[in-house]
Amino acid sequence: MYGIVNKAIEDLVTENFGFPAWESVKKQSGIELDFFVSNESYDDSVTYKLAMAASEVLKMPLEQVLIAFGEFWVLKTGKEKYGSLMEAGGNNLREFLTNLPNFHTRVSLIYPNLSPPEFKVTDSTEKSLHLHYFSHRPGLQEFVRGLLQGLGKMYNESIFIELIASRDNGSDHEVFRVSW
Amino acid sequence: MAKLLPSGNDLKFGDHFSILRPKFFEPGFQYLSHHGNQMIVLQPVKNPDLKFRGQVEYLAGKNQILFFGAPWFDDISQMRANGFTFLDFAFHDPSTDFLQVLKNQEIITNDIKELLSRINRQKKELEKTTQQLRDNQSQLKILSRIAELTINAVIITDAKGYIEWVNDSFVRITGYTLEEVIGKKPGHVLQGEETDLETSKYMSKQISEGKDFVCEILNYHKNGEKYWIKVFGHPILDEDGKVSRFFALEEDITISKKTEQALRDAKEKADASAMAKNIFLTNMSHEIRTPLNAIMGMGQQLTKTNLNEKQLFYLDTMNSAAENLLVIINDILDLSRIEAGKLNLENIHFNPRTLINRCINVMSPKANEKGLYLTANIDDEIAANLIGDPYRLNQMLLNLLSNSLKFTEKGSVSLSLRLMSEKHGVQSLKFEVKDTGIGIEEKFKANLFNKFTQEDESIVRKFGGTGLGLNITKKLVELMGGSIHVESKKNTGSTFSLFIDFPVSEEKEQPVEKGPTLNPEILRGREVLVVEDNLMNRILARIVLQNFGANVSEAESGFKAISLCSRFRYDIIIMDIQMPGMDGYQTTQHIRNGLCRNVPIIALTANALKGEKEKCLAAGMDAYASKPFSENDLIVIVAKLLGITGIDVDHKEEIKLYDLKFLEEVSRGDRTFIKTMIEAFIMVAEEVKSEIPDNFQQGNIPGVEAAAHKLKSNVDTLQVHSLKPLIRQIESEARNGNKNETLGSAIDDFSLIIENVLTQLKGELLAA
Repeated sequence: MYGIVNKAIEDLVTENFGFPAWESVKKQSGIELDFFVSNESYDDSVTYKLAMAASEVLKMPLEQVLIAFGEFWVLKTGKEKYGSLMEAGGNNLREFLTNLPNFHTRVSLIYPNLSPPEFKVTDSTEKSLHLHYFSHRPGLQEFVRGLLQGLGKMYNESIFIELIASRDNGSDHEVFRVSW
Repeated sequence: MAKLLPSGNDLKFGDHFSILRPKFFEPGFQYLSHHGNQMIVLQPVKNPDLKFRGQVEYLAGKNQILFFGAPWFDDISQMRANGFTFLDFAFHDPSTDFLQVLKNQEIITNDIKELLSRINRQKKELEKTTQQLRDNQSQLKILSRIAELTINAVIITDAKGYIEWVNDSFVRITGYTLEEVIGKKPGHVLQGEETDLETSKYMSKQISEGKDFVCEILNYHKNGEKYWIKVFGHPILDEDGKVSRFFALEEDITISKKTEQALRDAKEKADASAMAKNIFLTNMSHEIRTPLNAIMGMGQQLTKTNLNEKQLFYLDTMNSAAENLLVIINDILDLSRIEAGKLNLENIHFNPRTLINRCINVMSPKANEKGLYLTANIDDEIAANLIGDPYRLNQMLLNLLSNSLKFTEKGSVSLSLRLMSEKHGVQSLKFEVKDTGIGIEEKFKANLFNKFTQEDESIVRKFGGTGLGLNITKKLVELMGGSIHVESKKNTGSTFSLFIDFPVSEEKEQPVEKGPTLNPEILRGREVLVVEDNLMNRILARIVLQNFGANVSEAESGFKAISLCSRFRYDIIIMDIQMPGMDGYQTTQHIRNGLCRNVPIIALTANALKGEKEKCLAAGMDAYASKPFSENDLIVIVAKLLGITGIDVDHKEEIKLYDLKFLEEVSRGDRTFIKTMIEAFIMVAEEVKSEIPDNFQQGNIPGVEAAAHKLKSNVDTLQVHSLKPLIRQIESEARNGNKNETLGSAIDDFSLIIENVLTQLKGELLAA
């Protein structure tokens, strides 16, 4: 996983619970890295361990941590670090989501060492679409849900997300029905 | 592109674009048509922020130039400012990717900046820590030096208590070198068979829990010598708060332990000696009070007999001496009770005004005798009833008053009671006894409240006394939580003040208890056994009991008593406790185990110390009387145990059938004379009371007249108003020979009244 993802977890914990809480999370996770380089690719286990440790230290279910983290990623990390790059993804939520597959294809070309997930959009209407999420990483669908919630907020849309298919239920990928 | 460029035909290129690069030539169709291999950067005239990058292609057939290019943005903000999203770009166009890479580069640059600032911060922290470490090390050096040089033993162990280091004093105190003890637990090396196991366990527990401790423990030197140390144990914590080491400072306290033991031994000896003194005083009090009891009782009985003036004087002197001796014994007993902590204070309701008035009444005769004014003054604010020990308060006030009266030759003695303050239902009172007496020397004041202290030998000779009174008063007032103060000036007078707090009682005033006037026939026909080894006391008890009509048997020992009990039936037994051979307790148990299970037994003892009563009751006795007993008290106890009701003749204000005023006047209050006269009346009246009705029955009317005449003058002397007209009527009717119904009815009335008069007069004698 991209360093900036881990960095975002650090920022989320530090901003909301203080530096000592982050120290505890890091200690709990057993990760001995003091700094995450944004563009560096880190082993996925680092991210998983941090998320699980945060769940234990902050006494929050893992799903809640991932959702909070997804929202934070869009609203804080994205805005602060990438600025208008996020908005360049589309003029509205629908455009942004529609552009997601191409965006990730571009990223995979620019950074060949990353293995970003793939997205596919189907059943697109004016106010809803099905977002298909293909990833070799397990257990991150709640992170995706958080990202989607964050995007809803970024575009000032009240968004409704429904997971209609999942690898947990025998499907080979996750499908979110997103409406707004 | 439509968002950025004008569209239409016949527009002039130069009106809409300028060429940003290459700059070095005048742009023109000619030039452009020949430089298809050149990268061209165009700038729209109306939007100079915007650039287009591309190349031109000359179409020779049409003589046209085509420009192939795309907008070039310096960054994404610029792209967004021109209304573009990624969706506006062709997939093959890498310019958005380029913008993304640029953005990432910016982020990485920020990463590097952040990293540098962190490194900088850490560097500063490191410098600070290094300085602290250097400071700590120098402090540590000083501390280690102190640890090395201190006269106390210093031990440093690891977290589990195994020795890592000891100082030189440890080596000196224990005899073990560092090499000998390293890696061992101090307890395993230093403790021995007499070491207190509990203390040892306590230390181990504190170490295992990482807690501080201080304790004293017996250790053994390498050569086997015992020594005492005081250990201060302290855990040394690491950064995480975990115990990394233990530090113990051990102070050799062998000498102070020995001193402490010596002090403890001395205190035990002192306690034992105090106990012995207490027992001695108790025994002494018994030995003295038993014969004194007899002396006083016998004296009391003797005053009831006919005595001449000389005999009366001797007897009065003897009684007063005996009373004084009793006061002294009581003082000594009080003192020994207080010192043994066995004096318990009452906590009962009492009326302070009644108490003060009684004190004044008791002391008035003495004051009158010396021609002194004795006055009392009580603040109105003082509560009607207080809670405390009125008996001991009375004792203290009487002591102060009698001192004042004793040491005052002219002037006055006053007792005042003042309210100093009142808070939460408690009144703080000041009892003040003030006199105009000889006063106290300044230098003596310091010793005033010590026992057996009097100002000088001449005082003892002149005024007598034991020198215990003030000491007892001081101890009593302190027992009550109060204090005593004295102000005095030689030859001017003294003022003694008692400061005591009393809770205010909510109860209404208690009725004043009147001592019962006993019916002299109260024990008529009752069989009483007196068990007493002392002859005088036995006789005294017998006389008292017989005076109330009892039939008395005597036993001089426990054995005799048991033998009598097996043969005769007694209504009640009066049992002395301290008898040689079988004592009162044992005798009682034998009697209780034998035939007389239910006979009431009254213990009679001179042992006035606390707990005696409980002991007697526990031994199976029913009641307890302390010697010397008062006649009334003993009779009341006996009567109550026998279930006799109406102990007192009459508790109500009795209408007197006679008036002793005349006798008191002629004799100037001489009680003995009055008593003699009453006895004389009783003697005559007992005769006449039967003579008159007997003679009347037998028709001996002159006999009736003579008998009436015999009593007439006596009736006048004692002012027996109820009989005065009656006896005269009988005399005159009989003189006239009128053996008629009038005389008969007068005689009937006489018989009834004379009986009542006699009962009242006999009561008068007993009360005297």
